[in-house]
Amino acid sequence: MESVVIQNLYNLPQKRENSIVIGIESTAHTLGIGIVSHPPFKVLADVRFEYNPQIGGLHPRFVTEYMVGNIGDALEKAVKEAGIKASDISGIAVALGPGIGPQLRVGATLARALALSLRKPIIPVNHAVAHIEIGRLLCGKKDPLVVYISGGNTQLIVYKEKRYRVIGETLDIALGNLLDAFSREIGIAPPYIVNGKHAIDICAKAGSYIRGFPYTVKGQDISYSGLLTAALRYAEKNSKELNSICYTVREIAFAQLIEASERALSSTNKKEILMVGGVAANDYLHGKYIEMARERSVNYCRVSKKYAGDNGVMIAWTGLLSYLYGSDVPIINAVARQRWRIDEVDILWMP
Amino acid sequence: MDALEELTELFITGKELSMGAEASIYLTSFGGIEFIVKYRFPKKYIHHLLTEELILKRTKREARILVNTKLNGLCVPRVYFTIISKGILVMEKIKGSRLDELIEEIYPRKELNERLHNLYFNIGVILGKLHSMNIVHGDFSISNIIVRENQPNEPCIIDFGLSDFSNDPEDRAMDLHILFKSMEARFPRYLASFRESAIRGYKTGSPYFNIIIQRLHEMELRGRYVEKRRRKHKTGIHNV
Repeated sequence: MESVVIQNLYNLPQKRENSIVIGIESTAHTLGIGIVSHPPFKVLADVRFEYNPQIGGLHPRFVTEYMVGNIGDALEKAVKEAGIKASDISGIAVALGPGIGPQLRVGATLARALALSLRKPIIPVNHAVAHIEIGRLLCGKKDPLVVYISGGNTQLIVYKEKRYRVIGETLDIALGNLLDAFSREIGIAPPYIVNGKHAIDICAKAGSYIRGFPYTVKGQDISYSGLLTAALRYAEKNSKELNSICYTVREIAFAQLIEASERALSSTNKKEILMVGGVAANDYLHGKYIEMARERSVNYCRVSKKYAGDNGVMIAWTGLLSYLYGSDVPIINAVARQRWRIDEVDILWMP
Repeated sequence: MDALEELTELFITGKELSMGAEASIYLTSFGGIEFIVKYRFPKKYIHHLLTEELILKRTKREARILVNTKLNGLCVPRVYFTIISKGILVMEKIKGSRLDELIEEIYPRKELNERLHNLYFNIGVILGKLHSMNIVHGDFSISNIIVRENQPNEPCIIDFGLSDFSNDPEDRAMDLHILFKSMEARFPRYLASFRESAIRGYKTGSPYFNIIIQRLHEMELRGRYVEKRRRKHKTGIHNV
């Protein structure tokens, strides 16, 4: 990433020496350790251990066991990959929330242990902010409408007056949650993702549209729980139409999100869309956004697939931005915050 | 091309004022009278059956609700003509500026906000009247409120595209929720005073005021990861 681009996107304090930050991600099902340095921006390590259940969904206890079991390897691998010594490290960044409590505590514990033993500052990072910052960096977007979609989140976000503000969101379950829960209940998942495709995409391939499913957009907010219930009820009685049900659920779910995004675009007059989060990797949705952006003559970019899902690099990068502004905290305050909303975080690096 | 399509084409030849989320707005004039044409266009990126279904349902409902509210004396655009199947709604142009544009102009100067309190109060009043007719707006944001020059304290409401007949406290509270959220997103500094005045106004006209305000508070705690919600039921487990 060229430093000229970074200068346009970020207002960073002048600092001559190179900073290296370790980022720890453990908010959901990915244990990620990333190491980045700046300037110039460089990813020194990107280690990920992803928990994928054989049956059912994400049971926090099993995910935590998995993370604890792999955390030593992950750290060792990351440090080796980066080829750094303890003295090179400027700070330890950790995603303290929002996320699932038990998993968050794994990352938080590792971060505190590292900070104590290496005597390095600890930098709390908001997971949602990190998704946006890595997206902004990779897409080169200065002031976009952010569509943040993942297993746990569906939010439309814009920057205004030192904060990222949520201007639209799901009123109940997240988009990824809808797709996963639906697929699981009708028996086509897990595995949820096969060769980069979600189970519902594979199932929808041979389907066609069924009329009459609920479509709920309230201003810039959306609701998915009604659609999930209706689809599951319909599937119970019409098990032969499974492909068409998949097709319809996906069509409606995506259409709702697009409409809410369009509403957010008109109300904010933003000319750029940035899509981030795990569901951003969905190519079918991506295609629809390309089309929509073209019709509305706005600029659209999604974060590269590699950094769409949870990873340590985005935590490290956001941690580095915070570090340059001296946002480290005393170790005793570095605790997990399951419900840490994005609009509680001061964004200090916006130009 | 059949007659209806020809007519549709005719209506959307005017000047395109804006492309909203689901419709384009055209300004056309006929016999010296200016009017607004709202055209719900089919979207290529939405399944054709779904987009058709939404166009038909919304155009029909919007026309019906506009006529209803106008007959009850609220300041909303008058409906002149419709082609429901093509998503065409022809209506009166209300002369004035959008509330968000108005505030944008004065935003750097906080003292000017004080002068808007009567307007804010009346926004609450008009919403209360709408609700007392069992109608909810569905997208009651500050960009859908028009302020006229000659009657700067009497707001008008436009864009009933997501409106519906409903007496559900949830839907009513949602109108308030969207109103405050739209203010917060654009002008966070004004939210507190705006909210206070609008709620006072709303209280004068709205049936079941207390229930709706209660629901509004619940709604604000309902978004994801709201800390306040959990603080109410603190468990003994320490955060680590």
